[in-house]
Amino acid sequence: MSPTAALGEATLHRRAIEQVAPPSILVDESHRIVHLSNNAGRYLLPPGGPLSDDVVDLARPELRFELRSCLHRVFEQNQSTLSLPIMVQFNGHGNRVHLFVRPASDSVSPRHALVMFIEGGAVDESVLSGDSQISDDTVRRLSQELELTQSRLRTVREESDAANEDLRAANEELQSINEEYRSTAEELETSKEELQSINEELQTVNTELKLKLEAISRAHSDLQNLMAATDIGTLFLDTGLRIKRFTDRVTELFAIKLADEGRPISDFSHQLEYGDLIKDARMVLSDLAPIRREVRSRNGHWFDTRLRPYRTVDDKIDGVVVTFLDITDRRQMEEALRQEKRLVDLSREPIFVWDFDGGILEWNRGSEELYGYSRQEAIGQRKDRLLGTMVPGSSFDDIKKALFESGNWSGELRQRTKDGRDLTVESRIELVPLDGRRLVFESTRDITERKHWDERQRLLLGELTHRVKNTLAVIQAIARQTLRSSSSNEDFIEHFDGRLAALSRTHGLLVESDWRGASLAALARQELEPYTSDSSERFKIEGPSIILPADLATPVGLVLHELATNSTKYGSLSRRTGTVNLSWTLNRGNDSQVLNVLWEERGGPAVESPKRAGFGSVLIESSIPGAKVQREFRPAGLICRIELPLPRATDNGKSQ
Amino acid sequence: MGRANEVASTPPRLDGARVLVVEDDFFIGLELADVLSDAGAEVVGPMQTVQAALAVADDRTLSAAVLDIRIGNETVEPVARRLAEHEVPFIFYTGQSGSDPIRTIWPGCKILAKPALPASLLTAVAGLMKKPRREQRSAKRS
Repeated sequence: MSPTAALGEATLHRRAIEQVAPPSILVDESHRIVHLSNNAGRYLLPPGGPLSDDVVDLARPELRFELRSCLHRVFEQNQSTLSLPIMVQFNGHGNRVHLFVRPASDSVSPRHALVMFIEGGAVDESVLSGDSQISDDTVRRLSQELELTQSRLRTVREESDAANEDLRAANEELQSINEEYRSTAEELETSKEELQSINEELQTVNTELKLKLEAISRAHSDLQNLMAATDIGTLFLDTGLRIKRFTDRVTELFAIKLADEGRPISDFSHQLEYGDLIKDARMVLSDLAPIRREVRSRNGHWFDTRLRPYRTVDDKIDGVVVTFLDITDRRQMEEALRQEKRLVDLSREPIFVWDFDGGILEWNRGSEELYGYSRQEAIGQRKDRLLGTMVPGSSFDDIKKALFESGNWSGELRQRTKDGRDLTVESRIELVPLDGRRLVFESTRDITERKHWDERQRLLLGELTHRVKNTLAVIQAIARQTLRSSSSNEDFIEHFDGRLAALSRTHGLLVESDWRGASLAALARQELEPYTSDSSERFKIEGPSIILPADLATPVGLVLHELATNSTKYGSLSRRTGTVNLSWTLNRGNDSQVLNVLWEERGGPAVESPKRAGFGSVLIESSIPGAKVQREFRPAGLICRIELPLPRATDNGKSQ
Repeated sequence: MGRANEVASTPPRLDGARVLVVEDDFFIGLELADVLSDAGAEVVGPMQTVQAALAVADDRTLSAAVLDIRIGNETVEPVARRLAEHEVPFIFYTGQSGSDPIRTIWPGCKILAKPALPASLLTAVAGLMKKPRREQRSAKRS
């Protein structure tokens, strides 16, 4: 124990403190003794049994209770404790001892505690002796009980501590379980929400599906109705040409029933004259190009048959759709139309169609023949311009008005042919609105010739009226003139009848020539023959062929008649042997020609000039316009010379 | 239109009148001249050609004229025009039908249809000669 030179003064100092300082014990958390100071052993009194290193067990019994609570306070609450004086018996002497327990370090949770015993000095025995004798036993008993109780309490406390500890652990577990539960609950909550949203989605999807289902079922029902209602035979075949579906009309063409769905179509006979049906269907499947044919059925109906590839919604080819549309009516109409068109074309009547606001659309053969324009030339041309149409006695506006009011018009039009010939046509026009266009159907009839004849007839009739009236006036004049120079009714009648007959004969000749004129020879023969019926030897007619114009023929005829009558009355023809020689010559000048007629009587009685110039004489000498008439009453017979200038137009002797 | 007035019981006289007759037909002209002469008129003609008629148309002493419309291949129109210039009244004596263009040229003139009774002719010619006097009177009144 002697201090070595090596020890520092600090150690010296600590030792000194240790010698002076109260005895102390360093205790750890579990109350085990870590270190004892030199003189601390006096406060220890280990109990019997196995040696424990617990300071509470090792301390003197009087100190134990206080020590435990002090330690507890240090470790649990980090508080120093100075206890009240405790009576401790050392070798029969009681001593007051204070316990001072404090944490060994200043840390918040001390791992060690320092227990110091501070002696307060010996207790005066005498002070205690008064009662000691009396109470000694009681005190001992009580103190034993107390110690027992303390021990029990300690045990209970330890148990309680242990239980407490357990409970704490359990609590912690519970707490952690609780937390787990909570997190689980949260997860569950999340899951629940997710489920809810999924549910909602499902519900939406479900609704959509329901709607789709409804739409599909409606579409299906529509399809069913369509199939039932359609008048078009429709046959669905799959890629193997087996029947998938068909409408009722198909059963009229194919010998199939509802139960035949799924069987190949080639197994069934059909009414169509369409041997290539299967081949065509295969071709549609391979080429994917639709095929269309007009096919006749055995009962005379026509079907527009179309084969198309069956395309699914996602554009896959899944068979063939065959449709049969009855077009018998259309075919018949087409045929009828073709025949009508042929008829129209055959017609000699021009028939054509033009657009009211445009050109010619149709032009039949009759139009080609009448107007000279071929179909190619006419189509597309404005009709009025092409034909140079004019509306005599009316106007285009009137025609348009009539067309818009009643839809048709008919009347006369002037039109011109390709070679410039003017036509008068009778036109019938009908305006037919068609697809927003205004079509005009026009049929014309060439009445040019008829119009021409009408006009000619009108002129002829006018001419005839004029001639008749003129002739009547001539007859009236002759009658009145005859009457003026007649001595009696009989005389008048004889002369007038003769002159009328002569006029009529000349008239007859003129009519035969269409009033162009009368041959002088024919005229003479007509006038002389009635008086020489017994012998044609009695008169001679000589001369070139001369045609007298109508205005000369009439008076010349009358003059010849007068000469002949006079001759039968007073001249050569009044004797059986008398003759008349009638001759004429035509003397042509540079721009005129003169007819010289010579009337020569022979073999009659001697003649002399009439006593007075009656109408007969005036007639002979003056009635021929422009003529010079000279009569010589010779004893041998009458000679009459007529010198008549003829207009050049009548010079047709050369042509005969 | 051009119808002659109703035939009077006794045909009117034309004494002192000089009447030109243009008629290419000899017989009708002869008869016209006789009828007019019988009524006291002095007849100029009958002229059988337009040329001959024109030669006398300027005669200022003419009181009236009777004209056939068609003279040969011509019409009497130049004669009618000349007479109108000299204010000599005339009638047409014709067998021509109503559509003759002469009617549109002379819308107011008298036309006597062939064949006419002598009395109708005389009434018509007498009517011609009264007419100018009447017109003069109406002109004075206004």
